[in-house]
This record gives sequence, C-alpha cells and structure tokens, in this order.
Amino acid sequence: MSDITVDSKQYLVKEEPYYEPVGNEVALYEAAYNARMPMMLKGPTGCGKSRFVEYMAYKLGRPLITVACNEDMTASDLVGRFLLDKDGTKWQDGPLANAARIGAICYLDEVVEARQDTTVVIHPLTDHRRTLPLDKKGELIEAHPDFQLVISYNPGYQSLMKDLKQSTKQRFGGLDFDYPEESIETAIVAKESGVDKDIAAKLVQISHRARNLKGHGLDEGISTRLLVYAGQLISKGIDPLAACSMTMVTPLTDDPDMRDTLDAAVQTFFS
Amino acid sequence: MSVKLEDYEDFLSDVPAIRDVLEGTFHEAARTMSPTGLENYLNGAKALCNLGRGNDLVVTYLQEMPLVVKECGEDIIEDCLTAAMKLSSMTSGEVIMLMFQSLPSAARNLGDAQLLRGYLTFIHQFASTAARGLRPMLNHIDQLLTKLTLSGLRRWATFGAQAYRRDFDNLVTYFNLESADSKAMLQKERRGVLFVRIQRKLNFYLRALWGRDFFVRPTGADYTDFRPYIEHRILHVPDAVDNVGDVSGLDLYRATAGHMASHMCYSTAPISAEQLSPAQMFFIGMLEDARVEYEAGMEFPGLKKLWMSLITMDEENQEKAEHETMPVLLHIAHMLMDETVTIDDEQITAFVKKFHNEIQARQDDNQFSWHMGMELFHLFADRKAVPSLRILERIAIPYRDDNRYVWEFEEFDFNTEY
Repeated sequence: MSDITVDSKQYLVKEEPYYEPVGNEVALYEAAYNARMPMMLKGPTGCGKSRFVEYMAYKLGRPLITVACNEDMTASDLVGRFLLDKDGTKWQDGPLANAARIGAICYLDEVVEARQDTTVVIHPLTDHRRTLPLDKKGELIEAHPDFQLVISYNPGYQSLMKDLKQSTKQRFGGLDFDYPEESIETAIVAKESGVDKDIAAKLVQISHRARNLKGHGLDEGISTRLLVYAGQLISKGIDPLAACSMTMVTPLTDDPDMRDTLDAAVQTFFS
Repeated sequence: MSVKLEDYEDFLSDVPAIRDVLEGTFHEAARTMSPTGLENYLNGAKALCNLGRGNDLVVTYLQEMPLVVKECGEDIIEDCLTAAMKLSSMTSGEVIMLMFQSLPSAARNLGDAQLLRGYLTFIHQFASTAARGLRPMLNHIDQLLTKLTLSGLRRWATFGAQAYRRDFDNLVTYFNLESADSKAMLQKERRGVLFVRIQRKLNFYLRALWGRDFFVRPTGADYTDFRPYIEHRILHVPDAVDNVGDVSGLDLYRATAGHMASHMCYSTAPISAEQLSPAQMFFIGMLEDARVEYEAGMEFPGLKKLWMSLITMDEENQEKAEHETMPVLLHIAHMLMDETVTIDDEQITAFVKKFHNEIQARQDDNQFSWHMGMELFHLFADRKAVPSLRILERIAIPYRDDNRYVWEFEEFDFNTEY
C-alpha cells in the first residue's frame, strides 16, 4: 500500500461531459471495458478522444486518472517513488499505481510522446497478469478488478518520428477516431460554443477547407476543438474574421502562404 | 538505359577542366534528369565544346542546366542548346555564357517551359536587332525578370532597341538600367502581381476549396484579347495581372482560377456546338458561366462575392463601350449572379427570373445553359442588337476564361496520354 493515501472520489467525473457519438464507439468501448481490455484511441488532435474517455468514465461510474505523457517522463513518474520529508522516507504511488489500486480508468494521453522504455512498465498490467510490480518498494500490485488502461495517440505527424513498439501495440484493442461528419460536428460546435447553427456550419466548412490541405502544406487540419474556440469568441461578440484568424489560422501554421490561404478560406464564408 | 560518365571518356580526356566540373554536376544532373535527359545534357556539353568558344561556356552550361531542368523540365535542354547555337553566329562566347547564366533565374521567374522558350526566342530576336544591348541586359536579367513578365521585358527591350538603334552609348546605358527613360519604361511595364510569386498560394487555395489538385500554368498574356483558358485539364492564366480597382492581383488570380476550377468541377459532359454560330456559342457560354458560378457560389459564398465585385466594377466603367449591347450583357451577367439586381426591360427581367426559378433544380444540367443561352441570343437577335464576335469576346469580365472547355470537355481517362 502507498504510505500516502489517495481519495479515489476526487477522480470521479462529476458532471456528464457533452459527447456526441459518431458511430458505435460507445457500445464497443463498453464491451471492451466489460472484458477489461486495454484500449487504444487513435485520431487527429482535437477530435474528441479525451472527451470520449471522460464521457465513458462518467457513464461507467469509474474514477478517471489522466496522465499527459511527455518525453521527460520516467517509469517512476508512472508507478511511484520514495519521497523525503521531515519524518523520513515515504512511498508515493504514481498515477498508474493509484489507478490500479482504486480500480480507476488510467488514461495515458499522447502516449507516444513518452520514451519507449518508459511505456514498457505498462506491459504486465495489460495482459493476463494484470499486475504492476513496484521494484523499488518490493511490492506487486494486483490490479483492482475495475481497473482499465486506455492510451491515445495521433497516428499522423507523430508517428513519423515516434511510434509504439509492436509489443506495446499488440496489448490493446483499438478505436479509430476522426473529425465527426459535417452535421454532427456542426451540432457539437453549436452546443459547445453557443453560436447558432448557421455560424457553426460555416466554421465547419472552413475546417473542411483546411483539412483538404493536410499533407499538402499542413501537418494537421483545423480540429473540432479549434472550431469550438472560434465559436466561443464569436458568441462573445468578436468579429468572425478576427475570431477565426486568432483561433483557426494563427495557431495552425507559420507559413505565410498557408496563412494567406486559410484567411482566404475564412473570407469565403465570413465576408 | 543508364548513362555513365565513363562513356564520355574520349571527349572528357581532351578537356580536363570540364571533366572536373562535370564530375561535380553529373550527380546533381542525374538526380533531376531521366537517362535520355542526361544523355542530351552530356551531348550538349560535347556540342558546345566543338563550338570552340572556350571552356568557360561549357562549364557554365554544365553548372546552370540542372537548375533550369529542375524548374522547367528536361525537354528544355535541346531548346537552350539550339538557342546557344543560333546566338553563336551573332555574338561572342562570353555573351552566350551570360545567356546560360541567366537561364536559372529566367526559369525560376517565368515558371514554365513554354515561357522559357519564349525567352530564348526573345534573346535570339534581340541579338539580331540590338546585339550590343544584350550583354548589359543579361547582366541585369534577374532584376528585370523579378519585376517584368516576358512580354513586359520584350516591350521594355524593344523600346530601348528602337530608340537607340544608332546611339550605342545610350543603348548600353539604357540596358544597364542607368538612364531615366530605361527606369521609367521599366516602371511602366511593371505589372501588379507576377504569377510565379503567388503560384503556391493559388495552388493551396484551389486545393482547400475543392480538395483536389489543379494544374495551373502561366501564359504570356501580351495581346489585347487574351483570355485565360483550360486546355488538357490545365488552367492557363496570365503570367501577371494588375490590381483591378480595390481587388488585388492575387484576388483576381483567385477569381480566375476559381471560375475555371468551377467549370472543371461542375461540368459532366460537353455541350454540342453542332449548327451553332460563334455568337450563339458565346451566349450559351455566358449562361454556362452563370450556371457553374451558381453552383460554386452555393458552396463558397465568398467566391461569389469576389466575382460580383469584379463584374460590378466593370459595369461602372462601361461608358465607352464599343456596342450598346455590351453594357446590357454585363448587367445581365450581374443579374444572373444576384437576383436582387434589376433592369428596366421586361423581356430581360422575365428571362433572368426564369433562370433563377429553374437554376436550383437544373444546376447540374448544362443543357439548361444551352436553352437559356439560345433564348438570350434570340432575344437580342430579334432586336437586331447582337454585336460582332470580336466585340462580344471583349466583354469586360476580367476573370472569365474563353470557355473552350465548355465545348471540348475532356473526361479524365488514365489511358489518355498528353
């Protein structure tokens, strides 16, 4: 057991997150959870992967522990470490150990950002063993029956530089995510940002124009998240051209020609 | 087939200076050229050696040609060699060398093999009229071509050559860009936006809108009646355009390319030109323009707005129209785009109303354009007010193409070779 106790209730998702299903992903995920199958969510940035995990955690009534992975992350950051304080040395569980103990869903966001040797620590938790060895502490955690591991990554530009080992990949069931189809995305943008359907539809149209340029000058298209940002600014009274430029053009690229094109695409719908 | 440097040992053993350079440029050339192109490249070097104008000329050719090929394709090698051979009877080896030195810059700024051929022809013609101006001009060619189109360069050079045909000192001053009239002429010929400067933006724009690539090529637009055109699925646009009122050159390019792309995206079959007079074809083409613009406008409202701004701008400048029908036709084009625009003419009002009533249901049917176009033609024919074809084709809508695509629609076929 950890020397520092953790309140599992703090990890519960308190309000139902808004999530618009785009296919049968909810049913598939529920089936996977019932089998306690580790899950891998693939999809472009800002398409709703993290929101989906939150929604499922809420729906299943399980605590959710999210870890934003990065390349400086070590195995200790996931499983735990000894900490020094005035009373001596104490063991502090990492988020993965915590989740395994309390039966939470542990969500490793952008997992390919972590080094491959770090991600190997999840292996014993993701096969029939469902255990997590804490070597430094000499303890073997048996995962709580409700524990599930979920990872996400963007198979586009990230996988050019980084990828998961096959031995890691082949421990997960996978769900592919993409930007929702036009009508669903319009509904999402309208609901999340508070703009009316017409404006939301125009924002979605602009994003489609940018997505046409993915791989032809742009690494990624405009995400649903950015559309929501633009909608939020517009609903606060900001001029649509300025709002789109601020949220959908400037963050996306530094290429002046591409910016010019995206600005022209915005003007095609908001002139 | 592969081309090896060793195969040219006989020729290279006589000229060690060239061998050293060629060893450096050969790999670069092999990357950008096919074996046939490489063979032409090496044979070209051999031919220039045989010309007997010094090794520097051959070295320059070897160094510059891969850069030219990179921009305009390897077919241009033979044209460059032919141009050099022609020049050799008129001027010194040093000037031919300068011509080769100018080619990468010309290729980069003209951005098209056909235009580069035009440049070579211009150099040849210029050498025969004002050979003494060639050297100073080639020394400034980069500066000139960043500001002028090929036709602008031709006019600028022709002015200088004619003005100082017998005044050699001033001729050299003019082509050295040192005289006031040389700079004034340069300023006069300078166009708003060169195609090569905005080509990338235009390609991005078309891809963003329609999610597919279009091939856009610059074309020398140096005659009055030039219209953009679509041929072999390539959009041919002017090599430079000026701003039109408040509409920037870049937006004019967007309007032009957007209009032509609309033809390609919203046409599924050609319209038969059988038994039609050229004037009737013009009227049908005008209605076909309105149909494809309607479809594009529904998808991209901003594009419609851009087109409308260009039509209304020309409508305002119609006092000096060659024929009384032309301002009316321009106004009809505007009415077809915007149903709120009116005219004090019952027949035309009824015609335009009919178009707007039916267009939504028949937007994908170019036979609709045929029938409506013929109706409009008869409307003016009954009034005996159909202008001549020359006047009709000069309709002042700057972004529209010549509509040859409407009649010669080419369905995409993988087996067709162009």
